[in-house]
Amino acid sequence: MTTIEEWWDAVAATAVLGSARRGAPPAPETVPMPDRRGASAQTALLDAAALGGAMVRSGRPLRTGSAPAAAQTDRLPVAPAGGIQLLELVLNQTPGGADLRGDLLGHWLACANAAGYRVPHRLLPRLLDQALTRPELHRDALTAADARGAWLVANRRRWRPMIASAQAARASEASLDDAAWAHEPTAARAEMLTRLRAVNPAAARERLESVWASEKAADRATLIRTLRTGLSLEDEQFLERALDDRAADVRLSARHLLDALPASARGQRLAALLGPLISRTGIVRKTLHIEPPTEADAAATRDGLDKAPKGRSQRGHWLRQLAAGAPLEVWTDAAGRDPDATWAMITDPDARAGIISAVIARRDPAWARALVDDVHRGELLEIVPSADREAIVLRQILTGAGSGTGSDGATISARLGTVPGPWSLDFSRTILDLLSSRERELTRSVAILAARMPPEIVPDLHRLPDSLAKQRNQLIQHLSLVHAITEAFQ
Amino acid sequence: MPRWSIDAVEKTAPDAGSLNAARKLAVPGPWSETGATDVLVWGKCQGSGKTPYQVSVDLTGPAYKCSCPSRKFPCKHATALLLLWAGAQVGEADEPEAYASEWASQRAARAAGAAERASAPAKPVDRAAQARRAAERRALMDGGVEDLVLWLEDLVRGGLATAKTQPWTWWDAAASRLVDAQLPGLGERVREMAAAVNRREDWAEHLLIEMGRWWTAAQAWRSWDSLDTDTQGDLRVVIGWAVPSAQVLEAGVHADVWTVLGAHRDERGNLIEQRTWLRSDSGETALLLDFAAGGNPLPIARLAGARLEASVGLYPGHAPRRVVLASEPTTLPAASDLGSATDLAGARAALAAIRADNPWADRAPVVVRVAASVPEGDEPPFVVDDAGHQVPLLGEPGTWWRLLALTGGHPVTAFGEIEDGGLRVLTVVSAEDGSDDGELVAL
Repeated sequence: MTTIEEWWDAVAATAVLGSARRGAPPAPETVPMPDRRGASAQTALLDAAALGGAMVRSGRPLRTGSAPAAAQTDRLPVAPAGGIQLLELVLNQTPGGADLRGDLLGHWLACANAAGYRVPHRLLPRLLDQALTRPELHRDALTAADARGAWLVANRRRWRPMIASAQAARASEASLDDAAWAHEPTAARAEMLTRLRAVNPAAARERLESVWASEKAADRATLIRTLRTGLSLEDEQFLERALDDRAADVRLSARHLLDALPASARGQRLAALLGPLISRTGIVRKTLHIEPPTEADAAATRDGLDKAPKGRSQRGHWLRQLAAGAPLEVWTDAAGRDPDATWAMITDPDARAGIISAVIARRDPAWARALVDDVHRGELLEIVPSADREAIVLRQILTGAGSGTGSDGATISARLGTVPGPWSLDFSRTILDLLSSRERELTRSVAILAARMPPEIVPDLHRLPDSLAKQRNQLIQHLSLVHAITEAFQ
Repeated sequence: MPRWSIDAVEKTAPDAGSLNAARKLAVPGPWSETGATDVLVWGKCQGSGKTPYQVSVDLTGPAYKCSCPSRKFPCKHATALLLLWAGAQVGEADEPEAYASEWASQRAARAAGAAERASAPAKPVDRAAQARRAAERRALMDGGVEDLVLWLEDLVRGGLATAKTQPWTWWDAAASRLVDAQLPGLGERVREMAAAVNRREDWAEHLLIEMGRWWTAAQAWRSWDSLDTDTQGDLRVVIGWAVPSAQVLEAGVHADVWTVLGAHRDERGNLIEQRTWLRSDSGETALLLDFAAGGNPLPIARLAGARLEASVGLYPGHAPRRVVLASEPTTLPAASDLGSATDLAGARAALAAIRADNPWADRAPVVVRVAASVPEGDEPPFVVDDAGHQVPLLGEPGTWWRLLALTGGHPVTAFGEIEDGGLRVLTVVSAEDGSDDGELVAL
């Protein structure tokens, strides 16, 4: 007695070969085949296909198996209805388009996280899709996505990179595992060391010292640069030894790092060399005269007075090296003035170049303020206390100072970028007035303006001319939305 | 009426282009004098012309009116207005603007008129001419069916292995003959088989089962006159012999209150089919079918959970019956649950029961309690019930992930279509807190 399954398999096998080669298999009694007299083999086979197919389709057993783990219960309460509506708006139809979406999404997530709310489940796929392409949002997005979001991300390959990047951000707080660290490629070890330096500089340096002797020259050069993060006088001994390293790259890096530590023994040695070269000249002693060094002994060469690069004066190079490494007090002491006045007394280009790099390496705010109107370097503006930046940038834009290129639009938007938000209302108003007659510059700065101006600027935006209606509406909508998001979570 | 979610609004857009255009317009800039009551949303939208367009939306239908010349329905202005409204950017008002309230009352009057006309006697029909045309068509179809029988017999005589080696043109020629013989439903199935034979691993069994269904259709056709009306109706669906909706309505209408369980849009080439599943308060599940071809808009999808008081005409056929609306329905307060649920074995039994009457049925509408899950290694997701039975989840990845986000792998009550290949979930009862008294969410 054949079962229905066996019969059906035989029917299928016959059909594949063709009824011309093999007759239709006889059906079990339980299959009610039609009673046809003298039916051909192909008719019988088609009858069997019709009946057997119907039975197979309806009778095939269901597959069984256990379900993988479901999502954990969320920790946070869902965001209030007003907040959810705003998130839908940001995710689906950001005013101002996709350019500003990242900003708004980041703002929404930051507000929700600060207030301790999560994203509603139905919006998670869109949120994750949009956060995916914006690594800076990964951590905040995963926090606001809560347990349901974590479960979704773990289950979908496309979203999974978000976990890795969020974990990397968190790993900075963890210490490094000894055994694992030693086997990582140099670039990865450098990255891990940098992260460890940010939280525990001594531990990172000790780790570096423990492998130092066995590293290749190129790897030593890469790894020593990680000391830039969290650099302090505690690193001096190590760097001092590195000044005698076999590899020129390592020696160079050690000197650059020591340039940022003027209180170090090397700083003092360079000060001792530089001091005697400076004298006050002029009838009212308004200039500092600097006599570049004429010779460098072995000790001075070790400290950086090495051979000049091609095409540069040897003595000028030495002066630059001295200025870059010696304490800035050498200058103020010689001038007897504050950094502002002292800078004005220095005319020698090599001395100036050395001082600029010293100020940047040491992040000295007083000197940065003295230099910033004269030297257009973004790094300088970043060192100036942020409270002062608005005034400085405004002055630079109005006078075209600090760049030598005049107040063209490209520099306006580039300069605005160096002033962190939120901007004061006064500053925002002045900038707006400036840009209202410069359509191209305004367009270029829309993203910065939208992200940094305070919502209170909105009434002023209405004054922008109609020729700028598009940018005006973009800014108004964006700022109103930022404001609404902030309000929704208060 | 509660505010719709943006998702719900987006589902009303006739196509992606229209939705994109609406999104661009869904900003406060071009709008003025917007407002909303419980049932109406209105506003003026400044277009390229001098006079702004007057846009009104009746949320109960929903129904749309706009003074713009667009032939899209709803037009981008109406969708944009709804997007603004869903985003809480339209204020509440006590009294609608005059143009909106006038339109609403005109609609009410038209609906009343339509109901009157439906009850009026139909105009006389030339019965003789009708019978002659039917006989001519029957003869043509008889020839096509006999042609199909021969083709099927040749196929099994030579073996399915030879069919696997046939080029697409061979299938297409067979399909075209069926279309020419006024059997377009069968023609489409044959044409689809050309791709399936090449794509599917289980092509031989799939082809054999499908041939069995074509064979059944041919045998049934041969004994047409001895078939009952419902089986004739089922057979007309599979061969593609449409019953005109006027004829269905002429045969009588049936009034009831219907709950919209869910809807699905199926795109095949340039033909879009929209299936809307309804359940009457008397317990019958019915299917409302809409078609659109060549980029024409479909009627708007009804919202899951909507309760409609409507008179419908019933197409001939076994359950679940296809219905046609006799007039624009009246909307009652929406439902928030799907009723009692079965498990996957129960769902399969429901499909088998439908096929006991209609062997050509592709799917059964079911309310099931299932959990959606993703297997390791990014395989397509599946649903599993309390008994541990599982079937693949049908549909698009976008829909899968919306379902997975809403449910988190926990069991939910869902409405969907069970087919041989798995379950297509269309609506779930979802609550943020995971409890069972949530709201109906269409996927």
